[in-house]
Amino acid sequence: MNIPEYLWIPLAIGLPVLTGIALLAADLTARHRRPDDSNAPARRWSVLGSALAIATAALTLAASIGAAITQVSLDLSWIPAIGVRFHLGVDSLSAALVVTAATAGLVAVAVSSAREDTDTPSAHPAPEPPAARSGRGAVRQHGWILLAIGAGLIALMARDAVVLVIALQSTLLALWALTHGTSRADDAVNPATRFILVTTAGSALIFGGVIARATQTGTTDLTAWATAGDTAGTQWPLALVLLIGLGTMVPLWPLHTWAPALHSRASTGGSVLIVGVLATVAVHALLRLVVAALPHGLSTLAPILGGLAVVGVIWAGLIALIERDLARVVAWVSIAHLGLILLALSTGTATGLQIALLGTVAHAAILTLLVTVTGELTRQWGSSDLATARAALREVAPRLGFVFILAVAAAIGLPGLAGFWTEFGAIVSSWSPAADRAEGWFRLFAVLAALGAVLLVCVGVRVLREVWSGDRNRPALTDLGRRGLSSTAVLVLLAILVVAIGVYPIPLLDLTSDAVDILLGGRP
Amino acid sequence: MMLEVRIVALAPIWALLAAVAVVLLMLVAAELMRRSVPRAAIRSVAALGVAGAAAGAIPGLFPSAPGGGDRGALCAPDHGCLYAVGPEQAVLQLLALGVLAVVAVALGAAASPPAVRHRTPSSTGVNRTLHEGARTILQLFAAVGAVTAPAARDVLSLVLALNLTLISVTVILVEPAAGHRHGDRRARLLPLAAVSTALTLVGAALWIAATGTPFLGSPMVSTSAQGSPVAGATEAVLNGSVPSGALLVTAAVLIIAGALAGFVLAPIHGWTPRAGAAVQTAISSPKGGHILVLLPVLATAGVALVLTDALARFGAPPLTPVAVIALVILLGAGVMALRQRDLHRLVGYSTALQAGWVLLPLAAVGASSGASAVSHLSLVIVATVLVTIVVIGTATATGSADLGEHHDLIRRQPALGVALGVGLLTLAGLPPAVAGVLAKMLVLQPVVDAGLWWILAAAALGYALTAAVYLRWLMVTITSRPGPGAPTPIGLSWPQWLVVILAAAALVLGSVFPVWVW
Repeated sequence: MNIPEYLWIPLAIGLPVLTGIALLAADLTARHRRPDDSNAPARRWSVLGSALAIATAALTLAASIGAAITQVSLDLSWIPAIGVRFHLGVDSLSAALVVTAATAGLVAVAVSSAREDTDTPSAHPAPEPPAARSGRGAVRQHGWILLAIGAGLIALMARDAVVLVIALQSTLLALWALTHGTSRADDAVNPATRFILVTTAGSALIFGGVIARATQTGTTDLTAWATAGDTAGTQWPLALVLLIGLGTMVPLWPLHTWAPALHSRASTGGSVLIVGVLATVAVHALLRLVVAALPHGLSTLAPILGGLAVVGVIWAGLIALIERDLARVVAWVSIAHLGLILLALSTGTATGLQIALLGTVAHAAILTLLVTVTGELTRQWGSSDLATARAALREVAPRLGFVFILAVAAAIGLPGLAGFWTEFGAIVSSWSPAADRAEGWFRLFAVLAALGAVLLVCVGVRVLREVWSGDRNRPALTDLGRRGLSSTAVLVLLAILVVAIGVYPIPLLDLTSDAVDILLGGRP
Repeated sequence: MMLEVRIVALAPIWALLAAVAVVLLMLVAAELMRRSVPRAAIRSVAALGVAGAAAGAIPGLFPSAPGGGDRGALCAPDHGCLYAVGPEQAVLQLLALGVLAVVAVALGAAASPPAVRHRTPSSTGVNRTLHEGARTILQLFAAVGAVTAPAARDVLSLVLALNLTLISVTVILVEPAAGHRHGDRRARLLPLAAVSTALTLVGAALWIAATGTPFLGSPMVSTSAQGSPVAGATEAVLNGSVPSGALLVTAAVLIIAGALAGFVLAPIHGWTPRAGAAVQTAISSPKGGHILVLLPVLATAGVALVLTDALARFGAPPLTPVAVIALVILLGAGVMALRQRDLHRLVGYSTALQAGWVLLPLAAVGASSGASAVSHLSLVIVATVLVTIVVIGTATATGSADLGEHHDLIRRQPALGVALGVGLLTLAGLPPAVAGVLAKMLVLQPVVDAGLWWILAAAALGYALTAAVYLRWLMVTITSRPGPGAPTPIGLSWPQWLVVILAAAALVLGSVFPVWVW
């Protein structure tokens, strides 16, 4: 079957959005109350919903790959009064990110379904199972995950600033809806509420920055923004406002406060979306709205951005050393990686920007793997507390243990794995920043980033010692391969991705070299 | 001075006044003949008046339409028109008339006159007629004020129109309902209205003292009126050649603050519990106070629109005090709303919060201020009407206005839940209610244009707070009720359903095809 090129984008965004709405609507109108095993129709309905969601996410991934290969665009008139067009397109800057987000989306749907398939009472029931993990919420959860994927893909493809910010805010809202039911009674503030409050304030700042830039240039078209010639004096206030706004979503230190708490409460699917879709979308928005559109403004603010990024790396590394909750440790690792990505991005060099793009893909792959593995452990352990004595992973579940080691090794930047390029590249590009950057500062940042990388290694060693090594073999864990097919397949796929990007990053680097031309707009 | 009247342009006002006159005649006849008049007759007259006014206001939407031409009236050669309508003013007028129509149609039963105890059946009938007629006349007067305020082009008419609305609505709300024990507390609204009147009159006097003329000049004749006494005086003041620029700004701030003092600021009078309680009781009265209170809000927006438009045409700086008041209202009402469990109060604070948003662009005094404030206000009015009808339906059906009554609404009554969700998301300015998001973006445009970055920073906090207020409510509608007991279903009368469906459809259409942005 030959699918016309122009259908890729409508398929990639239409499938998840429409199926998501359909699942939510079906969940609303379904009259079932207790879909436990005694309620066979509800159970069947839940399984059907999972299958539909997985199929949709897989087709979305296929359509995203199609759109990324053909690099098509879709341009419709939307609000003629203020010149806003519903303009979506995939170029070399967004191609890899679109596929990354769609892959993370598929993983999020698959791990949520895997939980449902095997959510039988085990020997180690969770003491406080969050509401979203019960059978009843499965269909709804899939609906929100698909909506988040759809909104995220629109944000990644948007060529119009207004479309981009609306899609970005929609992604946040879908994530909020997905995670708001998972807080526990002893939470002072619902982590999802904190997340949406911080990021919504960020959105308002982005609105302001976008409006100001639209007024300056007379258009909301992102391509026109990138080519508008103006001076640093008019750009830096806008760049500042946008950086703060987007910094709440990436997240950039010190605007990251929602992340560890949310990761410790969210379901595995929710966490995967945060690291795989939200972070990708936010970094992409930063590239489009600030790096490409306000290069002079970014140049003025680069030392501040780089400084905050590198402080974030060290901060996250230090806290992860003493954190007691495995999910929070993972969140800190994600913050550290994003700090390195932002440092590379602030250097203004072609290498730095390439590393930022490659790093974003690598971050999504590594953290999705790490989140999925820890999610599996948390489910079997009943909590993610590291202080509780548990069986050593290498003793009771060697295959799962291997995947865990691989994920941790990638996260600490071991050569040959995806994380290495982020760490190495960020330090190298920071050592020799662009000509208009303050070299002294960036060399200091390079040294500090290297220190942060060392801290990450310490974090990795600590986590491996507490989770993987040892000789306890009780309580028993179910190893990989003895559980649902989908969770095993997901872990194997992600592990292959992490190794592939680490060993052979050339295709990605080739792709991103074109993207850097877009970002630098012909500047050296 | 020769005034050219142009009676067609004044159609919205005289249609309402004609309705007032007919109702008045009916009342006189009823009193003289000691016989009651059917309620339907009074309502029909009022409805005809509102319909006529709406028909008269519609041409104002199309400034270049044939026959529309210059929608000015009472024009003097040297001073411009005393009454001028552009698209923005026409939208405000139509919104005011729409609000009145909703009060009459959807709340007909709730707004029925109180059962007054009298000795004979015939005198009860006459008294009912008098009550019904008096309330109708007051509602029509409130609409006259709200229709006149955005179109008035001299500061005295402006203040009079505003106070006509404020006082009419206050009197309606203060009138004690049968068996309602809060009548005495609501009487405390009257001093608030007096404060409003006093502030606005002082403001008007200062304006005249600063410029030497009550005329504001109309936007349509501003080019031809360059060099006219109005333009000359105002320009001189703002250029600094006459040392009263500060006076002029003070005057504008006093008038706007006075307009707000009556209703919008009232819910944050937390530190003056008596006044606060009075207003809260009034706006949670079963007579559709929340919807009626939108008339003074519209009149206030109209006044602010006229004043900032006049100031902007002569290049005045941003009205920083008004921006501060707007932020105080926004943040204060937001914080208070977050604590409320009573749906009536929640709607009251929500209206105040949104009024803060509407004021923000006007305070920036820019070329796009009026358009963005009116765009935002139109959405707020439609969404607030929708949400209020649901709240009134909740209170009527369950006998309680606790937020808990909405638990799991979206599952129990999906149609109503989704409609409420659309309204709440629009008010919050969150997707998928794209109309709400765009409105919040447009509101920030004049602020950004004026370079008021500190206001943008505060507005960012305000946006998060606004989102929190409505998401909290939304979260209740999608989570199950804690504890045992089945919740009572919420029933709406068919006119109420009609309003809810129309409003929700308008908001959804506005999100898919945002043509309302101009």
